[in-house]
Amino acid sequence: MKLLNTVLVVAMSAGIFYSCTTSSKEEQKTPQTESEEITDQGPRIVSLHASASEIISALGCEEDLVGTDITSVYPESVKKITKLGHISGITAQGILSLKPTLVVVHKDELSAQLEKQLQEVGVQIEKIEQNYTPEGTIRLISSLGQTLDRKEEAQELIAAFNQEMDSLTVTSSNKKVVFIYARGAGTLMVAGKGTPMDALIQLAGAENPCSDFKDFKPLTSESLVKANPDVLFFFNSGIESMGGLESLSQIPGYNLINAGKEGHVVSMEGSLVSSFGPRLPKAIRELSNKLSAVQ
Amino acid sequence: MTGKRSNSIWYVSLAVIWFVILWFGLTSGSFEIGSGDLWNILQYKLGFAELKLDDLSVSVLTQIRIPRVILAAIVGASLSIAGAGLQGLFRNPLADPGLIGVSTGASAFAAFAIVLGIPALFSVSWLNMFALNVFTFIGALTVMFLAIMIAHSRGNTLLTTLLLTGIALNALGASITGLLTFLSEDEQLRNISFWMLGSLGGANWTTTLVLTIINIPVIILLLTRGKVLNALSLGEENAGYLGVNVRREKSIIIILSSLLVSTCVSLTGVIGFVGLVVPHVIRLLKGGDNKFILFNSIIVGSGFLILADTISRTIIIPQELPIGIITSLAGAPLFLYIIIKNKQKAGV
Repeated sequence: MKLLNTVLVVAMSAGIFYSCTTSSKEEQKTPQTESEEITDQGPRIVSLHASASEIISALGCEEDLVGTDITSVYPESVKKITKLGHISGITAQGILSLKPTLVVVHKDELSAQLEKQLQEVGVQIEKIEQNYTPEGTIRLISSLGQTLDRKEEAQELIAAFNQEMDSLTVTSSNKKVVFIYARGAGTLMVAGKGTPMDALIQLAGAENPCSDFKDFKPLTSESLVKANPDVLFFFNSGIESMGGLESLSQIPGYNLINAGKEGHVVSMEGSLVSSFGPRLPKAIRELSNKLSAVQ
Repeated sequence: MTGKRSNSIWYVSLAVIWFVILWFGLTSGSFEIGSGDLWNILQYKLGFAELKLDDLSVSVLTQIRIPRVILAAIVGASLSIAGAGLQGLFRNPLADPGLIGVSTGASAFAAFAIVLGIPALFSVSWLNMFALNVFTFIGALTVMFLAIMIAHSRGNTLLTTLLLTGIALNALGASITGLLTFLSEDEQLRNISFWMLGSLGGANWTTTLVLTIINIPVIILLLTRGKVLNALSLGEENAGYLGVNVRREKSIIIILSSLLVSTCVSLTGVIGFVGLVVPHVIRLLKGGDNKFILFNSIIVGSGFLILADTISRTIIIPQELPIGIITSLAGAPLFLYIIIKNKQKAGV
C-alpha cells in the first residue's frame, strides 16, 4: 500500500513537474524556432535513441538534430542539443515543440499513443531496431543512411567499421564476467541476456554467467557466489555511485568470488558500452584489453 | 481470552512456528545448503560430528545467509514494535511507522545522495562505503525532529498536529524524490527506484552488527513502555491521573519508534506493511493489552520478515523479488481475513 502510494505520488509529481518544464521550454523555444524556420529549410530531426544520435552525427547530419533524449551524450557536441528527458517520460508535446520533420525512435520504446499523436501531425517516424551484434550496427547505419539520404556516407562509415572490426584481435579468455548496473539498499542489479553488456562481454571473448534471465534483474548474493565471476564489470559512474573501489568489499559474498579475491574489477564509460554504434570496435578492444590486463 | 492456559498455548505455537521459519530461512537459498547440511554444521560446531561440507558452503552460510536471516529478524522486530508503539500512542490501529514521514524523508535524502553523487565525495574509504546509509539515516532523523518540533506546543506534543505534519512531510518528501527522479540520469534513476523497493540483500556482518547494537537496546526500552501505553489508552488526562508523565512519555515513544524505523530504512530501504499489519493482527487475535502487543510484535514481526525475505530470495532463483511485494501480498489478505473473522465474531 505504502509503496504503491509512494510510487504513485512520485510518478504524479514527476509528471506534473515534467509538464511544467516542457511547457516552459516550449514558450522559450517558440520564437527561436520560428526564426530558424525561415532560414533553415532542411530536415529537423529528433533522435530518441543514443546510438541513433551517434550515427546521425557520424553521417554528418548533426546540424539537423534539434532534440535528443537524455541518454544521447556522444559525441560531446550532441550534449548541447535540447534534451527531451528520458524516453519513458517524453510526450508528443515536448517533441512537437521542436517542430521536427523526422523522429527517430527505437521500435520497442515508442508507445502506441505517442506514435498516433506524431502521425496525426504528419511527422515522419523512423522506427529503428537494434540487436546487439556488429551486423546489427551495420544494418542500423545503413537504414539511417537511407532515411537521411546519406547513403554514401553510410557506406563509408560501414567500410571503416568493417575494417576496424577486421583488425580487432580478441583473445578468447572464457573469463566469467558479471556486469553490475545498479544497486539499491543492498541487492545488485546485474545484466542478463539481451543487454548490450552481455553482448559486449561475449564479443570481448568472455562469458556472462548470468544468462538464464533477460534484461537487468536483482541478483541474490548467494547466486553471485554460485555464478562465481572472475571479473566484475561496471560503468565508470557505477563505481563512483557505490563509493569507489574500496566500497565493493561491502557487497555480500564479495570475498567469496574469484573477482573479489583477486580484486579483478574493470570499468568503462557508460555510453561506449551501451551504444553499439560506430564505436563498437573501440568498445570491444577496450574491454578485451582490460580483461586481459587482469590476469 | 487472555487466560493463562490460552496464553501458554499461544506462546508454544508461536515458538514452534518461529523456529520452523528460522530453519526454513537457514536452509533455503540459491546455494544448496539443505537441512542435512545445516544439521551437520550444528553437530560439528558442538563437537559431535565431522564436517562433511566444503569451505565455500560454510562461508556462504556464515557470511551471507546467517547475517541476512538475523538482519531480517531485527528489521522485522524493529518495524513491528515501532508500529505497535505508535498504534498504542495514537490510539489508532491504522498508525504505522511511515505515518510521521520518516521513511519518505529517508527516501528523499537517499535520492538526493544518489543524484548528487554524495558517496563519491568523501576521501575516507569507510565513509564512502556507508555514505548512502549515513545520509539516509540523517534524513530520517531530520524528518522526525522536524515533525516533533512542529507538533510541539508549550511542552506538549499535539498528536493530531503530528499526524497532519506527517501527511505534509510525506507529501513533501515524495515530491522531492519525484523531482530528483526527474532530474536524474538513467543510471541514477535505476539506483533510486531500486533503492526505494527495499531489500535485505545488503546484509553482511557489519550491517547486521550495526543494527543489532543500535536497535536491540531501543527495542528493550520501547518494551518497557507497555504499562504507559495501557494508561494512555484511557486518554491523556486519565493517564495523567494514574501518575504517567504524559508529555515526556509521548516524546519518548515517538523518538524510540522513529529511531527504529530510521535505522532500518537507512540499511534496507523502505519495507512497507510490516509495521502496520503485525501489531494489528496481534491485537485482533489476542486483545488490546499493549504490554502483550509490544512483546509479541517482536516475535511475530521477526518471524514474518524472515519468512518474507526467504521467499523473496528463493522464489525466482537466481533473482530476487522485492521484499515489499511479498510483505504486502502475504500481509494484506491475512489482514482482510482477520478483519472479516473479527467482524463475524462481534456479531455485526
